[in-house]
Parts: sequence; C-alpha cells; structure tokens
Amino acid sequence: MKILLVEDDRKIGQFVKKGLEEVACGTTWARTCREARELAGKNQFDVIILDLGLPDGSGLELLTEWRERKLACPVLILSARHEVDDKITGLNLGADDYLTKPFSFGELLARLRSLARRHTGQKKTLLEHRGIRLDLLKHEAALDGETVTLTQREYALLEFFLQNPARVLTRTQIAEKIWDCHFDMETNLVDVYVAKLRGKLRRGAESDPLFQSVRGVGYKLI
Amino acid sequence: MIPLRPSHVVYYAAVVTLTVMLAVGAGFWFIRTQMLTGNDFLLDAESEEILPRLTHLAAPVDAGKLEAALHEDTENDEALFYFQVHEPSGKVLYHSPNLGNVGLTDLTGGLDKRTVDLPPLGLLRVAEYHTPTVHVQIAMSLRNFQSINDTFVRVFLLGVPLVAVLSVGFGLALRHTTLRPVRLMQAAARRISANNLGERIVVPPGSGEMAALARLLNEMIDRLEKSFNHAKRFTADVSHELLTPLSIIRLHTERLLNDPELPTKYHHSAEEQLQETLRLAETLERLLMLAKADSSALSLKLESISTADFVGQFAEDAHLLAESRGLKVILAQNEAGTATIDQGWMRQVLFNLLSNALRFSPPNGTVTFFSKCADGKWAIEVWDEGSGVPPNRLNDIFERFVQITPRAEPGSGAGLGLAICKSIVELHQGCITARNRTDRSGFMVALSIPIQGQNT
Repeated sequence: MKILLVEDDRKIGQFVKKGLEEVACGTTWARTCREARELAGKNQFDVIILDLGLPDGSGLELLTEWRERKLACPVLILSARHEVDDKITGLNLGADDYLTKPFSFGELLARLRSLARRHTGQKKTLLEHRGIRLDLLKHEAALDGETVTLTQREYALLEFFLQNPARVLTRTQIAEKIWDCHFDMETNLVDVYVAKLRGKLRRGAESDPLFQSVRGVGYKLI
Repeated sequence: MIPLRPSHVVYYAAVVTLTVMLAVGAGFWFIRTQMLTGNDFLLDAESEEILPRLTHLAAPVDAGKLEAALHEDTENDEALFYFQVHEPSGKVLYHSPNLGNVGLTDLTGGLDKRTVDLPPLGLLRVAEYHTPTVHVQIAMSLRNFQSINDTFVRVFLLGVPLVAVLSVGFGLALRHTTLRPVRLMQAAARRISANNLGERIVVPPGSGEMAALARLLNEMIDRLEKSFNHAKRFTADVSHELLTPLSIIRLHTERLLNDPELPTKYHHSAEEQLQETLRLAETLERLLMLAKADSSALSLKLESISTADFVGQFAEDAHLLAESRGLKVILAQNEAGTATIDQGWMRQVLFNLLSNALRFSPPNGTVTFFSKCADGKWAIEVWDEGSGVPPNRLNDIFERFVQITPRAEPGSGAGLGLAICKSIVELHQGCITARNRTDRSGFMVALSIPIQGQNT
C-alpha cells in the first residue's frame, strides 16, 4: 500500500511514517500544501492521509483542488479540527473518511486498509464469515444455515464487522457508524451490543470468541 | 421631521392641513379688514362732501330744504351710497330713493360705523355723522364683500379636504421613499448570519443620515465578524495546540502497551496514562463544542424525523444498557409527531440523560421516559429513582463543571454532560429544566423543543 501522508507536525508525522513503514506501507511525507500538491501530481498513491491545518493553507482547499482534477485516490482526513461542520464539509468535498486527533494508530491503520480495499473491491451483496451469512438484499442473517433474528442495530453492527473482517474496529468508529454520535456517549453501549451479538451467534457451549476484544481500543472479528 | 410610521403621516397631514386652514383664514381676515377700511374711507370722504351743505340748516330743519341741499350729491352717488337723514329725535327727514322702503336704523352711541344686514339690500356698511341739527346716515353695499366671503367658504370647504388628502398621499410617498434605504438595510441585516458574516449592507449614495446609519451598522458587523472569527480561531487554535500533543502522547502510550517487552509492573501505569489522555481529549472536545455553541459557530444538520421512531429506537438501546447494569427502563409514553432536529446531537442529549439517570439509580431501580407531542412542542421527560439533587444545587446543575457526585466516582465525567444537553436543546430553540420528584425520591429532567405539527 502506497501512502501519501500530509501532516505538518513533526512528531506525529515521524511516528505515523515509521509505524506505517513497519507494517510495509510505503509512505511519503509532505509537510506543506505545496509539497503535497507536487507529490500527488507526480505519483500514484493508494491512500492519502490529509491534515487540515497546514502552514501554507487549508487541507480542505487541497482536497477541493484534487477532486476538481478528478484525482480518484481515497482521502482520509486526519485533523485536530474535529468540529462536526468541518467533518461535514470534508466529506462533502470528497473525503472518504475522517479521523480526529488524538487518534489511535491501530484505528488509523484499520481505516486505511478498509479505504484501500473499498476502492479496489466491489460492493458485495452477500457477506460470509466462518458460517455466518448476511444477505444484504434480503436483510437476513444466518448461522450455519439457520436464520438468526437480529434487531436493526445488531444487524448494522454485524454488517460493519463482516465488511471489515480481521480488522480492529474501535469503539468510537463503531459508535460513529451505528449511532451517528459525535463523541463518547458516556456509556458502554458498544460493549453491550457486541455482547448481545456474541450471544446470538454462539454455537452451543463453545467458547469461540468470534469478536475478539482488543483492550482499550475495540473489537476484531476473527 | 421624517415621517416614519403611518401615524407620523397622519400627524404630518394634520399639520399641513391646519397650516393651510390658518393661512387661508388669515388671508381672508386680511382682505376683509382691507375692504372694510376702504369702505369706511369712502364713507368718510362722502360725508365730507355732504356735511358742509347741511351746517347752515337751522332747527327745526325743513325736509324740502334738506332734500334740495342733498339732491345733487345723492343723485350723483346713487349707485354707490344710500342716504338717510333724521332729526336727533329720530324723525326721518330724508330717505334716498335707492333705499326703497328699507329704513336705516338709528345707530346708538353717536358717531359710529356698523355692518348691518338689511334684506333685500343685503349687508350694508352704515356710518352716522352728526351736525348740530341733523344726524346723517350714509351706507354702502357690501355685496362684493359678500361674494368674497362666499368664495372663501367654497375654497375652504373644497380646498381643505383636498389639501388633507394630498398631504396624506404626499406623506405616504415621502415615507416610502425615505424608508426605502431602511427597508433595504433590514433585508440585508436579516440575511447576514453566522454563515455569511462577510456580507455588508449597501451604503446608500450621498452623505445623509441613512448612509451614516448604514456605515454604522457595517462597522458593527465588522466588529461582530472579528470577534466571531476570533472565537472560531480560538477553538481551532486550542484544538490544534492541545490535541496535537495529546495525539503524540496517545500514539506513544499505545505503542508502549503493545510492546511485549514492557515490564508488567509498568503496564498498569501505561494504561492509566492512556485512559487519562483519552479523558482529557474528551473533556477538551466537550469544551470546544460548548465554545462553538456559545459563539453560534455550531451548525446543526437538521432533518425532519418521526419522534416516535426516534424515541423508539433510542429506547431499544436504553433497555439493553439498563439490563446490563441490572436496571430497568420504561418508555411510558411515546406520542407520534414530526420534529426537525439534528439526530446525532439529540441522541447525544438522550444518552447523556440516560447515563445520568442510570448512574443515580438504586439497584433494581427503574428509569422512566415520556415523549409527548402537544401544543407545538415535543416534550421529553426522564424520571429516575435515585436520591435526587439537594434543592440548593438545582439551579446550577446545568452549569459547566458542576458535579453532583464526587469526582472520584467512575463515569462521573467532567460535569459537562448537562451543560452540553442544555446547549444542544437551546440550539434547537428549546429549553431544559430539572426538579426532584415529589411522588417519591428521585430526579426528573424535562426538555421541550418546538415542532411543526402533531400528526402521525
């Protein structure tokens, strides 16, 4: 995966670049709008990580410019300017995802991977994973051929997991996706729902975890 | 005076009409006085001609001699004057033919001039002169004067209403023209909101008061824009300056935690550090949200939704959450209605209220929700069975950093939850209140936001 990292903060830039390179993602780091413009013009990237507050301009301007020039590369906005209207503006301008500071590296990586895949793969209508089947057209879930009745929320949650198998999904990521909430809801709602889902997808007395808990971050479908 | 309100136009028209009435009246009075003075002058001149011819007449005066003495004059001036001569006792000695059978009455009080109405001759101006032996009365017709009088009445009756109507019309037109810039300013001022503070009111040409007013308003908007941008800038700076280092702390702490070589004895410390970092970030984010709401820089993503669906879905989550803590949630009322809200933020409010209620509930306690749509309002109430809030704290629980529970209690947050609820509800033009329950121990929070209508 080739990544363009646009970030003006030296420490964050270093950390992310090093971290991404450790997991074999070739990363080019641009510190200003000018550099980013040049690099994006010359090279092909799989994903662009874009900070909004850059010393010589706003990342949003850069994004608009790219989308006008039909640059198809997925863009993940990474910014301290986490305010909701910026989020809306960013997504309207053609950003594909949004991660606010302070962010977890695990979450960044998970989102980058899902972004890169989303752009290569097609949208499936049937999701399958270890005997779990989710028919997106019929809106039906089944475990080993037997229909499982899910509530709307449980269904949405299972779909989210099945679309991101073996990736860590953070609590914030899940809360944002399923409940459209702006910040932590002071509740353990996500945990409660994962527990419910676990219960419904249990095979007898087996202690197969299925949704593995990743401490301090979230869950992973294994 | 610039007529501004319709009532001002009425005042204006009344003043104009009254002025015209006074001017016409004064003019008439002046003409009338002039005419009378002219008439009196003529009467005096005539008397000077006549009286010398009568001075030689000795009492008792003979009517024949008198007529002979007057004859010439009276015939010459027949067209202009009427004559009558009588003895001081009142006996008429001479009566000019043009008077017909109308007798001029004796004017009491000696020398005098009077205006008398003697039909069919009409108004007459009568003057009386005395010689030692006779009293001479000379009269003039005031027919011309009468016609001027009639004209005046006509002018007055027709002209005054006309002036009144014209001045009202003129006043309204003037009002329309003078207020046009004000109306334009109003429209422009109404257009300018948090989203387009860059716009300015068009300054009308010239250096009049309207232009000055427009410039003044623009200066005010300048200042507003400046402080508004300042607030926005501040939040952005705070975000950047504080959240960037927090990111770095989080990244490194997580790295430590993921490192298998981290000695077990430091594991707990690293975890604490991560948790506190996240809590700090969370508090910061809440403060920024409040700062943005305060400076009206927070825009809502408004959508029309069914209140019953929204609350129903929330209740589903609420049941699960309560169940996981051994508590119960009841949705006692869920009326149908349509509300225009930002779903994300309103859900946040409900979750905040729910988590407070759950936190204060005793074991096996019940939290009850009501959602009602009536009188153009969507009202939500949350009742818990906790110990309530000390009455002296009720007033400030919606303030920032106000903690009802000791800070050390897990999940007590930073005391911003209710402040955020209030802010969000107010952004929806609603209000939020709280009180202790009276039927039993417990706490009740009620919020209401305006909705368009009550339907299914």
